[in-house]
Amino acid sequence: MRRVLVVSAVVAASACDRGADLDFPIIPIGPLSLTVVSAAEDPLWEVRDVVVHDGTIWALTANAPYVHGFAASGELTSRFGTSGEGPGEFRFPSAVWPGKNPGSLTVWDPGSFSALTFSGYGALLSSVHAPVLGAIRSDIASVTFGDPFRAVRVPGGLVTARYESGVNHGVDLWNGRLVRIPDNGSDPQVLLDFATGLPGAAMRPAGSLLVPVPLWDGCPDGRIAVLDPVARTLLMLDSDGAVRDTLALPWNLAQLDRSARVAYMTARVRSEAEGGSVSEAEIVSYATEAARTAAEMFPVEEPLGVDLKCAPNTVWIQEFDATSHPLGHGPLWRTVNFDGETPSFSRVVFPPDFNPYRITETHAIGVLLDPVGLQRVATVSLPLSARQGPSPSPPPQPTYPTVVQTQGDLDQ
Amino acid sequence: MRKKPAWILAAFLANLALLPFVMAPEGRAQARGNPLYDCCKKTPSGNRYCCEWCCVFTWNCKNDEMCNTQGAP
Repeated sequence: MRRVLVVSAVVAASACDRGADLDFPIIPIGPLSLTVVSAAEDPLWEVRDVVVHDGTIWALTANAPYVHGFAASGELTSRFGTSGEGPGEFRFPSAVWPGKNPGSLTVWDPGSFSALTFSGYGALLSSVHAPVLGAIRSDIASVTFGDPFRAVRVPGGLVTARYESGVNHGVDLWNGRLVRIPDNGSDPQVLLDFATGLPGAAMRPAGSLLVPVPLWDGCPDGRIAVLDPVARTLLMLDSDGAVRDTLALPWNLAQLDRSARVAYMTARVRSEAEGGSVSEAEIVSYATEAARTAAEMFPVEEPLGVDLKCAPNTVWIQEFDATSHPLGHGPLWRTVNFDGETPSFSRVVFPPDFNPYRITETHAIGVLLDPVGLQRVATVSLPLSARQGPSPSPPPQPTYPTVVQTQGDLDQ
Repeated sequence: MRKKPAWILAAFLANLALLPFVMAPEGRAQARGNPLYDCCKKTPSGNRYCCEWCCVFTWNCKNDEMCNTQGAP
């Protein structure tokens, strides 16, 4: 049964700033809640996913050896995974989840469109191949906060997104379709077409830089949480794609300011100039000019969220924060809790430099970044009060040029 | 590079001028002109291709073949 949750309490604030959000409790998580698990002698870099299974914390990195297993004590207990095209080798692993057998681990590799299951010591147990899901630019993570490589395990299969027209820009993520790939090898089932199934698709900003994009994640109960950042709506799908809940989010958005545009363009230019001998002053100079010239290519408002994690009964949405990262990844997350009759909201601040990958009812598991870019597996214990908050008001309508309006202008 | 050739700056500024067309809808896209933004990228499978409007600062291709020849960027 489809259940529509629209909560209508009034939260006094203008539609153009974050005044309403200030009424939600901000829950800081102090440094004493942080536990660094892995040792400094076993540093990681470019961690792509982290999962806990049968007492082992597994971290997946972007380079070989790709898979690292840590005991709760921090001891490195397993490390494996080589690059290549042979059995059990990786091209571009992006996600991990527990295997069916005790202690086993499945790695999703969108480079070979396959899910590879290993024993805890790296022996290949099985592999399942998926159909081609679309050509995605491998460095897309430097362009958009959206994650086209995300894949999650659901009962009877895996869910990922299919991009038949490819992904070269953040805006291309609107052309994706969530698909469920059954374990039995039958054809993928389309769960949600972002372009037609999300109301915000037609209202999205006409630009292409730092644009809001659909975010999604699998939930522990098998459901799938999808954020429509333009319609400001959270959809809860079951594993067959049926919409079970639709929740209007009450959050107002700040304007995307000049410093955010410059930070983004600086990161883009710096990334492209990497390996060359372009000075930092030149990079900043060019980026500043680009941000000024291309101001209309950015949205007017900050994106509603830059990441989404689904925990038991709670959806976590990372707020845009250009002061922390050019793509907006920062320590502040909004939570939507479904424990009660009506959803409740809060805002949580994680310790600095901690990035959560999985969130349970009591802990967040992720990595802690040190000043030189090395990462260590870490956990954060969550306060119970993270689930409380006032009721929301309906979201305001967009006040910027939309894709539909732009196309209409061109037709005239 | 302490002394950047003037053409790099000129080309960069030309790219800036074209930036509004990067993701322009179909009707306006016809007015793009030369795709100075194109640069070589690869997919997770390792396939190299010329990615349309993918770069702001650099450009190095106009078709996929240019990304797959020996010595390609």
